[in-house]
Amino acid sequence: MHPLYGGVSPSFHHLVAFGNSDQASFRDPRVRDALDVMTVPGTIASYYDEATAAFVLSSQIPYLIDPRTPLFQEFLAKPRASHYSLAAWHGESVSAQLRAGGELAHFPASFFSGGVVDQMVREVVDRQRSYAGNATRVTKKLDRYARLLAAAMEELDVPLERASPTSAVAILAPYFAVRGEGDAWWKVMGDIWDACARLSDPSAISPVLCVGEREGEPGTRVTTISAAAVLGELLPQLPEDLARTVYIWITSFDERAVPEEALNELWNVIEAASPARNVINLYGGYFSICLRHAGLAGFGSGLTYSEARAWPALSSTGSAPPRYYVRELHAFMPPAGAANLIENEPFFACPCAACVSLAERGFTIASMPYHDLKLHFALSRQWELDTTAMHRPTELAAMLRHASSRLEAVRGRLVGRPPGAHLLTWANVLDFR
Amino acid sequence: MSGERSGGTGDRPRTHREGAGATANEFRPATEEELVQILRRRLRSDWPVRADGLEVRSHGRCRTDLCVTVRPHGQAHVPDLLLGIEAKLTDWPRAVRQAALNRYVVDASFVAVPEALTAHGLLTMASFHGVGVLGVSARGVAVRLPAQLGVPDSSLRARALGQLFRTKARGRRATDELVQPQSEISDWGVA
Repeated sequence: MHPLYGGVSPSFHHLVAFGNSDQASFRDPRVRDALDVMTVPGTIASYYDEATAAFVLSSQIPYLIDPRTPLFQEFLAKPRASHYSLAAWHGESVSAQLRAGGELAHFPASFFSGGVVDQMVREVVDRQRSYAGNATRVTKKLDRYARLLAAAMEELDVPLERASPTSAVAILAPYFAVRGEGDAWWKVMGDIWDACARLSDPSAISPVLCVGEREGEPGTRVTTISAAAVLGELLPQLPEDLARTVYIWITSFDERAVPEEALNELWNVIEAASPARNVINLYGGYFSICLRHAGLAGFGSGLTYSEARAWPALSSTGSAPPRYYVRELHAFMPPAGAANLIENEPFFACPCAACVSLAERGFTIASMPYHDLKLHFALSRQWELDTTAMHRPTELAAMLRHASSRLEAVRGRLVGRPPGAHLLTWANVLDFR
Repeated sequence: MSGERSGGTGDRPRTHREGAGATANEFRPATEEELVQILRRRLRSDWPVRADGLEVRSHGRCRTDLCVTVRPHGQAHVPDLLLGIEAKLTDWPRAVRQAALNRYVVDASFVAVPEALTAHGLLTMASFHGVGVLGVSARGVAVRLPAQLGVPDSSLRARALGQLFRTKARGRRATDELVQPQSEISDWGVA
């Protein structure tokens, strides 16, 4: 047992999603230090083709591309330009089906026949495997982004030598949301993985398991089978010939809102799966970081957004609203609300470089600029990663209970309604681990 | 107290059948936009308003219904006060919460509601958060509770000021009516 990490593997991967409003943040060395992998949405990679390739390939950050295949599952209303470009990444059949659908494209499970799946898998995998090769056609933009990066690093006295573009650190198989073995889309997933296995080097292709809850069997007392339970059913059925690392997405799983039973269920599922698999949660928050103690190998989110994601809401995008992450609450608040909380209870004040610098300049969190909110979030995440690595679950539970009691002591004086119920829920789960 | 309602009406607006004084309390603009426009006109006519703006970007993605600057009474060399006002027809608790957070942006923050709503509950909550209360009626704008003078975030204050348009100061009412310094906080609302 490593004394610093209390027996928890230090190689817990922090994935951060790239958005077009995040470029400055990804050039900041303090943000870069807080993440391990940059996840690039397929929509952005395909639509802002040259600019994204130039940015990603000059960034010197390990990256992977999320194919976002569920966009082409069931109905897609009023497709946007980025959907057409992503469809091209999924093969000509998917592209043609999207064009034929007009304002309302339909992709039933039956559409994904053997030939369509083969074509889709080949295209999606090839796009990811060859992504670094885009560098030769975007040299001018790449040089510009490289210069911006060097300047940003130099501003903070962090030397960075220019390096050649690298390949993606993981190749993700296309995927769809599934609700269980009886779901028609589960058969499509099987076909996808079979197609992956027929490609060269299939052990380098990672399956993605996107799960949602389903209704219970008629005649039984169980009304809903939870998404975590569905995950538990399906994880053992992943193919052996693909990569050992599996990426998961539990749809609509808001860690702060789901009941204690759901969190316990997820913990048990990850614990059962982790000896055989490296499981990485594509959309998670602090509870996912705590799941490292169950054997979770990593988690991801955006910078101040996407700690949970619904399906089929994947088509709705846009820049995140400005939010301040209160690290002791492990939750977001509007900046002015956070300022009000900290005024009333300095326990929640943050000592990070972004917050200290703001206070030294005489400003409040209420006016924290957008980039600083993202920097603060990254630094808070780093603190969460360090804290969970150095403490046992019961110690983390005690910290959560303490934060909860500090919040409740001042709640009556506050203007807003800071979220806090999740602290005790999480503590209850951690107390027995 | 000037803001209290009698006859057990609490926060419920009086109807025209409820006796003397009811006429002024029948005033009910149809929409919040109408309330804001009436408020803006009355503030300009009654107080020395030197600039104002509607839907002013205040903090985060929030917008304040109406911001005005007023010249402090008899103090030519003192900077204008920046006031922020959240207007509501009915949901005054929400207005108070919004106005409380506006204190990071403006020197003094208010809620404005139809006069009939200016009852004990509103005044208590507003007082707790340092927010002033303006009662709007057919007769004009009454200061039911002065706002506490605060120390806003300078960058947010500057951004709000930059969105206002200058206007000719016509009113003569003293701005002392609108604000009270921190040291003069009354015990209004303390049980």
